[in-house]
Amino acid sequence: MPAQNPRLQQIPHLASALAAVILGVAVLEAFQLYARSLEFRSITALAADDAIIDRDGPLGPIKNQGAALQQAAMEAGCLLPIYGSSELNLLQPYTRPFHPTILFQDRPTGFTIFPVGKAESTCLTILQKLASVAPALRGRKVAVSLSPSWFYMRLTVRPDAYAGNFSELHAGELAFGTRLSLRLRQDAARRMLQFPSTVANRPLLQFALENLASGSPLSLACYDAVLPLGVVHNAILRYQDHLSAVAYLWQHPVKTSSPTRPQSATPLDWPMLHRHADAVYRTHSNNNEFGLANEKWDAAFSQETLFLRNIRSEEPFLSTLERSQEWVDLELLLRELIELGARPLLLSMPIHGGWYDYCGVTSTARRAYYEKLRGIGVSYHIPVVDFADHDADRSFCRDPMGHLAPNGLLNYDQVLDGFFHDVIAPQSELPAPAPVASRGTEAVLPFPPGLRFPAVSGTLPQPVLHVRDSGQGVQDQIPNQFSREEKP
Amino acid sequence: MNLVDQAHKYHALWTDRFAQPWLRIVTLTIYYLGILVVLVALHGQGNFSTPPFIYQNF
Repeated sequence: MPAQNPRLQQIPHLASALAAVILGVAVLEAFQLYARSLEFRSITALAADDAIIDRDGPLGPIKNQGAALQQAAMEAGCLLPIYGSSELNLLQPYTRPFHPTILFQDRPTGFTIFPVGKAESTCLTILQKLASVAPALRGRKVAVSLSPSWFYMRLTVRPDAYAGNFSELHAGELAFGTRLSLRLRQDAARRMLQFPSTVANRPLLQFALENLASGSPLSLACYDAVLPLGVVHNAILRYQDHLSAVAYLWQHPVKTSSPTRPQSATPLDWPMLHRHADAVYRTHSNNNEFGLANEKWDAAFSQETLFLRNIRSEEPFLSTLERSQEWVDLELLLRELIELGARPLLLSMPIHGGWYDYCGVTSTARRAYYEKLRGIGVSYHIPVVDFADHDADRSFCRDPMGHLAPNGLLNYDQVLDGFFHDVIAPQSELPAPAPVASRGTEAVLPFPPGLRFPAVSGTLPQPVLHVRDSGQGVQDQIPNQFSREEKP
Repeated sequence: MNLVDQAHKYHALWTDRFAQPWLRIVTLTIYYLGILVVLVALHGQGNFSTPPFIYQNF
């Protein structure tokens, strides 16, 4: 049979392969468009769903190790992304109603949050997470929640904890993302290479990071040579990410089919909420003098209290605080946020002053943390809310790690609300060393000065105040079992 | 007609049909698309799980 197109007949495989590749790319692009549309349509309902703070649920890896849902959250105007660690999802039933995801579920003031992170998501991890949503960050408000213990309990994050939060997609976006300056990528690469297990079985990423870190002209030429390959690899990971997100949304149709909850018209009554939180926490923190949650006290501290008294001194605390690599990572994170044009807010839980007094770390030593954090905020022109005025408040954190008690969560909620509405309060003065840490609404202002809050309406329930005997000298005693490992 | 003859017949028929360029191109395109689909099915599902670690939650 005579050939109708001799040239085509000569290269049938090439023409067919080319056609298949073009068709395949078109299908993938169409899928990506569909996936982004589905993610965007679902993200507000997803953010208001309890599953978003379920630390063991199937959504966790997709949200924390992927980028598709984070990207969708960045693009949704009524969501405030907050990056943090265990305080975002390590909850007890009695703290749950005060978590911003639950409190802002109906968007009473026009927004809800989108929490990203899990236990031990430190600055280096957040740095990589944000690199994966770099295009969406310009002009976007982002809150970053820091744990003080990252800075004074150890010199750097544990390798297994870092690996437990590692994402190849996020790391690849940082290594091959050209939106960030070369200098920043080099500095970040040097830190990332200090956790070799995460790149050991990822040769392309390892090669890129090593050459970035080296910085010699030859190394940078090698990096440039593999840059296109890295970009393609990241694209494949992004398709996988979209596929995972779409599969989750298909398997949980309630997230996609149910319309977003209508915005609530009821304003939040902050003073009443604070009184309620105080009353709730008093019933869950009544078996110890430190304001620790009962379950924490029973599980970890009640048997070792005498041993932990004055177990730590100022010197190792200040030494660790001074040398912690977490400061390096924090500065990398701030540089990234500035380069990408984001509008960040740094939140830090306060140190549990009552407990650390007992351990032998005085308020003067603890003040060094707040001062250093504020200094960095000033250097980078980034607002910092460190709740230093709650250092002595025994109703703010429910354990020495800084996990938030109901009142602490409410304070977080208020600051996030203010941040979203551009009415963030000016930084409070660092408090003078407090002789005795106290607790309850009598110890703190219910909300920072300068914020506008809804007027109180109706009769407020009166919480049952639990008067403590401050003469028991709690303050000169308080602890930290970690110091057993850190003490030289 | 024995089995060998039948095989020859069908082979000739297939060769004759496949000699048409458009059919050959379409068939090969479907074949390569199939390869791509298998590749996506094998490697499309990303693994976003992370190794477990003990969180010192005190």
